[in-house]
Order: sequence, then structure tokens, then C-alpha cells
Amino acid sequence: MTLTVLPESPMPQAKKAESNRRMAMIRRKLGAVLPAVPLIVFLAMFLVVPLAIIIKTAIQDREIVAALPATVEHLATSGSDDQAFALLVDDLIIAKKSGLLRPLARRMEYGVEGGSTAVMDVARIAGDDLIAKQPGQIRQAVIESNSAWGESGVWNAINAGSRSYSLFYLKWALGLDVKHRADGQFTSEISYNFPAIYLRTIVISVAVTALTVLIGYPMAYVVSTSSGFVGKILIFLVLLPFWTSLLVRTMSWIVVLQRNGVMNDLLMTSGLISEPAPLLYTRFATVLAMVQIQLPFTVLPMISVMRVIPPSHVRAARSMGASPLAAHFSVFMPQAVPGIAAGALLTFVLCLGFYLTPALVGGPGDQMVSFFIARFTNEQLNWGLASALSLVLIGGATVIALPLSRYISTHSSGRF
Amino acid sequence: MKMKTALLSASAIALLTGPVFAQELTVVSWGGALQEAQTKAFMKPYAETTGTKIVQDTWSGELAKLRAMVDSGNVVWDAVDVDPQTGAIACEQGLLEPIGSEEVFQALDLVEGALLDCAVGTSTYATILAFKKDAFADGPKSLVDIFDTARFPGKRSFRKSPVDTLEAALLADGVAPTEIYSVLSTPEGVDRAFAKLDTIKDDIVWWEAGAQPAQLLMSGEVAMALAWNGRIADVNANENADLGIAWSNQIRGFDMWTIPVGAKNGDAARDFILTTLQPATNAEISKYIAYGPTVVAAADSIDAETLENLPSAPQNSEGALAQDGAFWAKNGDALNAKFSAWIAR
Repeated sequence: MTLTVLPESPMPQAKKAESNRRMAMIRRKLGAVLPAVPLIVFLAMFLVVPLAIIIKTAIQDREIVAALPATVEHLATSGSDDQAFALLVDDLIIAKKSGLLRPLARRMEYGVEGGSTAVMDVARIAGDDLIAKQPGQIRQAVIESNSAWGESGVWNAINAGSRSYSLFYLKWALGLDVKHRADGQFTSEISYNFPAIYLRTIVISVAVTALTVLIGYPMAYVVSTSSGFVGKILIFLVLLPFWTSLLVRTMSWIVVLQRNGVMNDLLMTSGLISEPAPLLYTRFATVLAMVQIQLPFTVLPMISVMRVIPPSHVRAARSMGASPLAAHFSVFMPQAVPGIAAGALLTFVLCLGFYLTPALVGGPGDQMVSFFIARFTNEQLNWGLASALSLVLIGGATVIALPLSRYISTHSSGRF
Repeated sequence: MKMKTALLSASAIALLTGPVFAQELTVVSWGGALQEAQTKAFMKPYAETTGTKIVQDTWSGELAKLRAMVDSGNVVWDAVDVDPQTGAIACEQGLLEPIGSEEVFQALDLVEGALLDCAVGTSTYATILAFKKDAFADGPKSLVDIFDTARFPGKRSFRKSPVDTLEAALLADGVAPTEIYSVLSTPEGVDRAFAKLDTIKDDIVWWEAGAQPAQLLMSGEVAMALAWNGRIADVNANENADLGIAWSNQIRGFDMWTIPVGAKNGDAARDFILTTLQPATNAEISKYIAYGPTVVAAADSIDAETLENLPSAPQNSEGALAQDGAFWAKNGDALNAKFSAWIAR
């Protein structure tokens, strides 16, 4: 046996210099990043970690495999035979003691109609005297306790829950059919119509964004071009709502819009209407309140961009014979577009997450995605679905916002 | 030096005599008029007689907080006030100690439905029909009158939840109180409830927080509302609201004590809960809020005038329905989904 030792190849001089240069560059880059370390750590702790937890909660699906390990393993190789029934009873006896029974029942109900009852019915009869019987007799006893066990639905659901991670909640959040009937067919039962809720969220957000831009643009123009006292007053008016709590602003809309409120009083005394109009608890109220809350977010980026547009450009256009409007639209406005886009984007993304305002002044048909996320988190404790809905919301917002924000960052260089 | 020795010996005595000095208890309730009443009737007397330091916290049934505590093993709450549905859901999720099977609680003589697997009722409240007295010449008498838009025109308000709403619809459709939950367990029964609600859907304003119905009534936004009786009694007493209450067919619920799994002072919590269920102490709550006692014997020590305003008074109890928390824990998810689809349609 010969052992060949490779001679250490001497590093050529040029290569060494190259690696030195590279090290120096990395060191320089690290030095430049160093001041940002606190921010990076902060982001990692309070953005990346929570996001990772949300993703994990959305795809985690371990109630079934945790409570019925032997049954799940058996089903993977053979069907729901007598042995499966015996193992099911075995698993349930242990699950009862370890507190895994209730979570299992709940998760089964998500996947199959009557799943919760089916599990609880078997759990009630599961005991040492039952497990001592022949597998055939066990099967008979289980089906007698709840006829759903004689059909394929519950067994399919158990089989589908054989892994600790699944796309179950994400599919549910995307509005796909996830719930089966006891006979194994998808149920036609009306559940949450998530696609309609996403659509509603986007429609409301687009409407609010469009309105804030329409109202905010002239205002931003006036603020950015007027100097002195008028400008200061106007900017104060824009900022004032910023300093008032969201809840207070929303509650004040309730006072204004209610049946005997300021708005109805005004409309009635002016003779426009003869009896109070239903203003509160409508889509109109939701959009109105959201526009007021979002206006500063749209206007401020616009102002910062408009301030640096040289007035001489418009003057030049005017001196060449353009009308005031033509000069504004052909010279001023194109330069303001990055500011408009930035303001609109900020408002749109913030609107997607609105929760409090629609809940307080909107009608039942105006609730946006966040309302349901809060409901599943707090009231129904369905954290898997709540996390999946959050992911869809974050994903959707990114898909819409990313191209826009790239546009803004390439077109607004030096303006912010 | 002398000072130091004195301090040392004092703390040694404290250590020796143990829990009497060291005991601490965190009690959580729903804030507002209810928690004030509980403070006067239960917490203060208990702290005074036992020397326990009671820390109070409030919540509004957000189970996420409780679940986060239990999951992370850092449970800072010891006794938590829940309503039957919230209690049943939390119990199913394994967040609460199973106290219903304990002998000390079973030995108490409580009204029907006041002892659940994980919760024990300390006072009763009711969902009733509250109305503006000046809106009707001849006011409604029963909760189901909220469906009668011919006799009682105007907007009406329900809680934006299938809980109470579906029960009220079936009661109005002629289902007997004892049959409500068996009817609601069938798909046909659920359809029947929604069909009844369809008849007045356009006249409904939905509320979400307990203070809203009184506010909606006082501002004239609605003429009648399903509300919790304590809230209505409170605005009548403190804000001169003059709202009427129709008691018949009330839907009765309980304020219930629970102990979270892993509570640091679980034994102290048990002890505290048991004192609030002594007849004399239990009767105290009705002095401070229009909620009834849950201990059968406590009803005797309440004077006639107070009794008139309690949900548990015989003259108010006609056709009363006891809310089934277990039913809602089991069917809440499915019915919430149906309700949400129906309401947005």
C-alpha cells in the first residue's frame, strides 16, 4: 500500500495579493455596516423571529399525529381494517390521559363534518374492557358509538393528518375546499368566504388610496408652494390628526355620523333630506373615516417631493406660452409622481391591515382580513388559520407593493 | 444594629408562620361595573380576613393571552372570571384546571348549570331586551318581541355573534326554551334560526362591546336592543337613561371562576373561589350590581327591592333559557363561520 502525500503547492504571489485585497474589502464593508448592527438585531428579533413563528404556526398540523400515532402509522400501510379500529381505541385511551383528546377533536372537526363528535363518542367508550375484545368486536362497538366511523371521511382525515406539518391551514386561508363530509366528499356547506374578504379588503384599500391621492394632491401642492403663515397653518392641519389617537378619531366619526349626529342634523336643517339618513355602519362611513386617518400618510411624502421641484421649471413653461394648467400637468406633475406613488403605496399597504375602524363604523359586510385574523386569534383560538391568513395578507401586500416600491426608489433618487 | 436584629427576627417570624403573610393572589375579571362590584363583595373582604395580597387584572375574554401564558409556562393569573362559552372553549383547549370534578365544588348547592368541567358560577346575568321607553306607547314584554317590527318599528341591535342571536331567533320562532339546543344541533334547526333572522336583517344594527347597546339606545340610533342586564341597570342608575327591560325569555348566563393550568397560587385561588360561594358572601354581589347569586341559599338573604331587578327573580324568570356553554364550545366554530357568511351576504 502506498501513501501519496500531495506536496503543498506554494501560493503564487499574485493570488496572495488578490486574497489580501478581498479581505480588506470585506473589512471595509463590515465597518460600514457596523453602525446599523443595532437595527439589524432589532429587526431580527422583532420582525424575522415573529414572522418565522407565524410561518411555523401556519404550517404546523400535529394534533392528529400526536394523539393517534399508532393509528396513523397503521393507516399508512393498510386501510381502515379491524386492526385500525383496535389501534384507534388504544391511542384514544392514552390521549384521554395525556390531554390530547380535546385538541384532536377540534382538529378533526376542521377537516370533517361531525369529526369532533365522532372522536368524543369513541373516547367515551374507549376503556380497558373494550380493548380486551376481539378486533372485529371493537370495530362493531366503535361504529355503533358513531356511524361516521363506518364511512371513509373520518379515516381520510386521520390519514391526511399523518405529518406534523401540512398545507391544511394555508389551503383553508386561500379559500380552497378543506372540509369533507363523513362520506368523504367535499362539503358544500357555506364557510368563511375568504376570497370575497380579500377582494373586499383590496377594494376598500384602493378606494381609500384613490380618495386620499385626489384630496391630498392639491393640498400638498398648496402647502409645498406657499411659504410663510399659510403654509405653516396648512401643514399644522395635516399633522394634527397624526397626534390624535386612532381610537379617538374613529369614535368622533361615530358622533358625527350617527342618526342624531352632526351630519344628519346639518342635512335635515338644510332641507336636503326629510328623515335621518343611515350613514353610520356603512361602507361609506368606513371609507370616510379611513380617508381621514390616512390623509397625512399620503400628503407628507408628496410634500417632500414637491418642495424640491424648482419653481423655475413651471415659470419656463409659462414663458414659452403654456397655460397654467398645461404647465402644471406637463412640467410639475411628472416630477411629483414619485411622491404621489410613495404616498399612495404607504396608504394602500397600511389600509390592508385596518381592523379597528371598519369594526367600529362599518357594517357587517365591511370587515377586512385583519378582523378575521383577530377573531381567530382571540376568540376561537384557531391560531393555525389566523397565521395562514396573516401570511396570505403579507404575501399579497408584498406582491402588490414590491414593483411599486422599486419604481419609487429608482425614480426618486436624491429627493428623499 | 438593634434595628437590624429586629428586622431579621420579624422576617424570621414571617417565614415561620409562612403562607399567611406571603400569600398573593391575582384575580382577573372584565373590568367596569362588574369588577367594582366583585371588589367590594369578594376581593376586599377576602384580603382583609386572610391577609392575602390580591392583585387585580382585567381582560375581555381574549383567550390568546391565556393560551400564551399556559404555553410559555409563565401563568401570572390565578383566578379568572369567564362567561360559559369562553370557559368551555378554554377548558377544551386544556387551558383550565378541571375543577368541576372536585368534591369541594360538587358539595356546594348551586343553581342548575352553575358547575361546568372547568368553571364554577359565582353570579348570574341575563341577555334581555332593553328598549327606549319613549319610543313605544305599549312597550315590549318579552325578548322575542325584538322580531316584531310591525308592533315595534325602528332599528334594533344584536350582538355581532351567533351566540344569543340564534337562540333568540328560535325562541321567537316558537321553540320552547328546553328544546333550543337540541333544535340548534340539527342543520334544519340552524336554517330555521337564520330564516327567522332574515325577516328583520335590514333593521339590525350590530354591536360588539358590552357598553354599546346602552349607547345606541341613548343616542336614538336604535329603539331596542339585546343587552346584558347589568349594563342597562348601570346606565339607568348612573346616567338617568330611563331604559326599559323586557325580562321574559331572557337568556341566562353565568360569571364563572376558573383556575388556569399552572397557576402559581392555585390553592389560594381555590380557597378564594370557595369563599365567594359561601351563601352570605355570594349574596353580597347583588348589592353592587344587578346580578343574581348562584348559591341557592343566598337568594333568601336578598331583600325584595333588590330582587326585583335580578335576572333570577321569579317574576323575571318566565321562559328563561340557560345558556349552554358546552354547546357553543362544540359548535361555535361551525356556527361562527355560517353566521359570518350570512351576515356579509
